[in-house]
Amino acid sequence: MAEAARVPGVDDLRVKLCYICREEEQYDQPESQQNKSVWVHPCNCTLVAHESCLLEWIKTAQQNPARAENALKCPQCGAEYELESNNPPLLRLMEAVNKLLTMGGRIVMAVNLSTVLVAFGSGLYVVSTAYGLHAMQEFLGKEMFDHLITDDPGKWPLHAWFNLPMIPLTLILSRTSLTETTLTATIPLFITWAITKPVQTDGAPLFRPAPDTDYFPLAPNQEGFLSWPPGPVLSIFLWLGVKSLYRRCWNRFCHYVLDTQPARAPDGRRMRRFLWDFDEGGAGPLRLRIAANVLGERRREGQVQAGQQHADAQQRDGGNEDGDAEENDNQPTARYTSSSIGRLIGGALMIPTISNRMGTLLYRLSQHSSLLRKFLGVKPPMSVGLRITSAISPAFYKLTPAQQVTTFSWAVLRVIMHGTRSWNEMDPVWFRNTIGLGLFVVAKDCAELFYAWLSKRELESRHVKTRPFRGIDARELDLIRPQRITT
Amino acid sequence: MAGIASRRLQKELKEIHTQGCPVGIQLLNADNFEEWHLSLEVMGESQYQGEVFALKFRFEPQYPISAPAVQFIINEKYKAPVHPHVYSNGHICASILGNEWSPVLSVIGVCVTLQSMLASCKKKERPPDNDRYVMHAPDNPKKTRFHYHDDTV
Repeated sequence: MAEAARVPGVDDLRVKLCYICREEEQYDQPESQQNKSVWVHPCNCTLVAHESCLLEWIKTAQQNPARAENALKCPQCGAEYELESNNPPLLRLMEAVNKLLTMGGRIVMAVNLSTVLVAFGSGLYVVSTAYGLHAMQEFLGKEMFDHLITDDPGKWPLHAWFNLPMIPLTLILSRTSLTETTLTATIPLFITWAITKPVQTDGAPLFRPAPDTDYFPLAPNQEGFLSWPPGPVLSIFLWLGVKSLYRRCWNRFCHYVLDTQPARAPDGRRMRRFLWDFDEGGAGPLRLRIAANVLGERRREGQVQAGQQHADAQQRDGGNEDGDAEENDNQPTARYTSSSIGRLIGGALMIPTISNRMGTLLYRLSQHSSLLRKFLGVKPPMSVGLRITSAISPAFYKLTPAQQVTTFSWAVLRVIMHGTRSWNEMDPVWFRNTIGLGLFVVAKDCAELFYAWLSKRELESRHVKTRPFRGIDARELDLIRPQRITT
Repeated sequence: MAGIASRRLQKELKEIHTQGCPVGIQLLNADNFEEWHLSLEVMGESQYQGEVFALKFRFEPQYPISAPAVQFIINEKYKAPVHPHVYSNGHICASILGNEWSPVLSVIGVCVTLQSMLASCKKKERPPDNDRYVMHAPDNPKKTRFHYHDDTV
């Protein structure tokens, strides 16, 4: 009876069939097939196996990450296998240490990688910020720069930390086909500076007392809507307007100069393609192809910081292209070569310096012309420091709410039209720099157009020189009037 | 000495000869222990009524520890079934041939599973990424890392 109550085990089976190797073993013929292993019944179902086969299977499955999870489960009933092994504490400790080290290695790797990234990023940030500072100094002039920003980072307004490093990026982007987006990116940049509170310079003892009616010290003390030169915010919109108008006229002028014979003027065609590119470039993907300078390719640079893109349209030479070819050819190709990228970046980063030099030149010229002086709004350097308090004058709070709203919106309007007080009352170096920059762009455009025009003329005037048959026996030639052979 | 694979395959072959194949499955060719061919037919009503397919099994010396490489044969006589888990080059996306392979399965077991996979198919169509996969597929389907779509089909 005791026998019947006993739960049978693997050794009670009449025939044992290994589910892995499919070898069988009869209970009465043990070791019949020179077998190697003991039998195990590891799970809840009827499967049995050689222990060696099963261990081999578990080992293989554990090595495969995708299968490791199920390595210790019976494929049929899903019961978990129980492994017993000689697993001394030391091995377990070492395994844990190994795991820790692996994790540590991963952490170290991640830290290293992020350190490199951070170092690179912050290096780039520092360089960009320094460049932005330089650009601002060039563009604003020393006096306003010291008033608004200064060299001391401790005094910078908060947005400087964002806006300064953005400057080189914006300048470079302004010359690519992403023009439209950069314009929108630039506007807030300049607007924030135009209305930002100036940095207080230490130890400026000379203050100009603010009039009592001046509720908002930041707002300029200026009557009327318009002043000359216009305030910085207004100037941005003026600049944009003038720019697009100029661009349109200039393109028409280019067509007029180059496109006298549209089918035969590669330069004119290039202009058109360039134009097309300009229209599409804003939304379309930037086709960036790094290619070595292609032989025979003439480049035409986009206009400088007027915010035009720089496209080296591939020129397909050939004097006899007709209208059809042009139709097929309307796929715009903005080709960026390694040298053109260098030109693009270098040119972009030169913009502040160029504009400063041009502004200085204009200033020199204005010494001889009162009209120019008036146009540029040249003012003598301030003999007294500009007092700008950040507090709103207490008189403001005594006004009725309606009056408060009116005076406040009036002040906002004045800031928009004239800029803050500092912009309004200081020598507007930035204005003559802007004008100078514009003049430079025009001059550069003219030079390029002239270059294109000369190239086109050269192309059109080409012909191959013909020579007489000198040194060839005249009898070998099939002549209309054969020469008489003289003996 | 013949490895574990050939001994196990010998057993499977003996079993097939003594017990015969399940309905719809026939051994076409098992001359060696590296590659076997079997034919497969879905019995009863199904999308594949009247169609006969052939399967190619390729075994590694570690079989059955390692799964066999199984694919549908494509030649003048046989075509791959149009099925959401069967690519037009004959490769099969089935978890039992990859992650869920276990030595409990056998050649016949795989055939029966694939047979039921075809039988339960509701709509004859190729996998959505068929063209892309076939263009880059390796010769051996075991080299592919399939993403098993779902277990229902």
